[in-house]
Amino acid sequence: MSLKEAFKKLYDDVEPPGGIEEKVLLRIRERKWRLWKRVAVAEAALILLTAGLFLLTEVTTTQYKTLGEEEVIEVYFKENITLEELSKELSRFNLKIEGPYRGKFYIKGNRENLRKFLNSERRLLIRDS
Amino acid sequence: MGHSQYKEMDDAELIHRIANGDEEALKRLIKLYKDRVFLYVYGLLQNYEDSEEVTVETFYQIWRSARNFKGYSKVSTWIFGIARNLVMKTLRRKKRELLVFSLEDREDSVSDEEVSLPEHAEILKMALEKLSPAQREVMHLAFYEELPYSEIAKIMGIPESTVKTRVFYAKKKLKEIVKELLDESQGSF
Repeated sequence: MSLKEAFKKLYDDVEPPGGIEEKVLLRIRERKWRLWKRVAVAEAALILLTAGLFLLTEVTTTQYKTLGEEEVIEVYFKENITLEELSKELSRFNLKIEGPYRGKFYIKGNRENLRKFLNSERRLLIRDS
Repeated sequence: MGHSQYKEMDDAELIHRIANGDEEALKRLIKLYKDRVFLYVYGLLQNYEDSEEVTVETFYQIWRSARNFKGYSKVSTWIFGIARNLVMKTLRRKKRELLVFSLEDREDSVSDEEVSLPEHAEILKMALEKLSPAQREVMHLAFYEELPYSEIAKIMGIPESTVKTRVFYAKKKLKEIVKELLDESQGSF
């Protein structure tokens, strides 16, 4: 008798289990489900984060606009005036120049003083906003 | 693709398809190897439930790591290697060890002399049962799976010469056990 036959005889008493294929496929499905859940959670988190950023941007923009409307008036000057000259003129009305913000300069100060400045110094202006 | 076409595929092609997520190819591979893997694992663990779990996990790991199969060894070698790693993991978890006599790892005293074994079927079967799991493993791979020593070495992660040594000593041990069993049976008459 060969050793192979002896082994076969030895294994005659051992019945290999059934359902291996089903158990393996179940394990694969479970893994796919776990991965899918992980991706879904990550996507949900990304959506929330994006929404959060969007809200934040909106709030910031609104605040900026509010600030602009209440405190800052945008005006346009003739090109031949320098910032130093303008600052000097503005200081007479207790106003000051700020910026540049996004490429623009702004006059900041009391609204009444600004109106006085705009009325008296029209020669400097092209137009106001 | 019909089931018959999977039957004609060789193992490497099946692994290639499994790597691309083909479940039918995996089913075919399971059909081909499940009993062989189970018997190999059972020989080492000697526990039916653990062996079933390791067999399932082996095919699950094949599914997950089929892309890593580079074809440097035979598919069967790769599969038995995965199963063996999982067996070792199970034994570590259960704080058991696969005992290998240190003498068997000596590579200097092995000759090419064949150890002859008796023809008594029942005695030989009983003798195989009495071998240690480690001795039976190498015998299983060499004589039941009929794998060459080079493939067994890859599965077990040891040099080919050590495989040869272990087979030699396992056969010698088997012969001793057979002799004892024969003496016992003769003595009982």
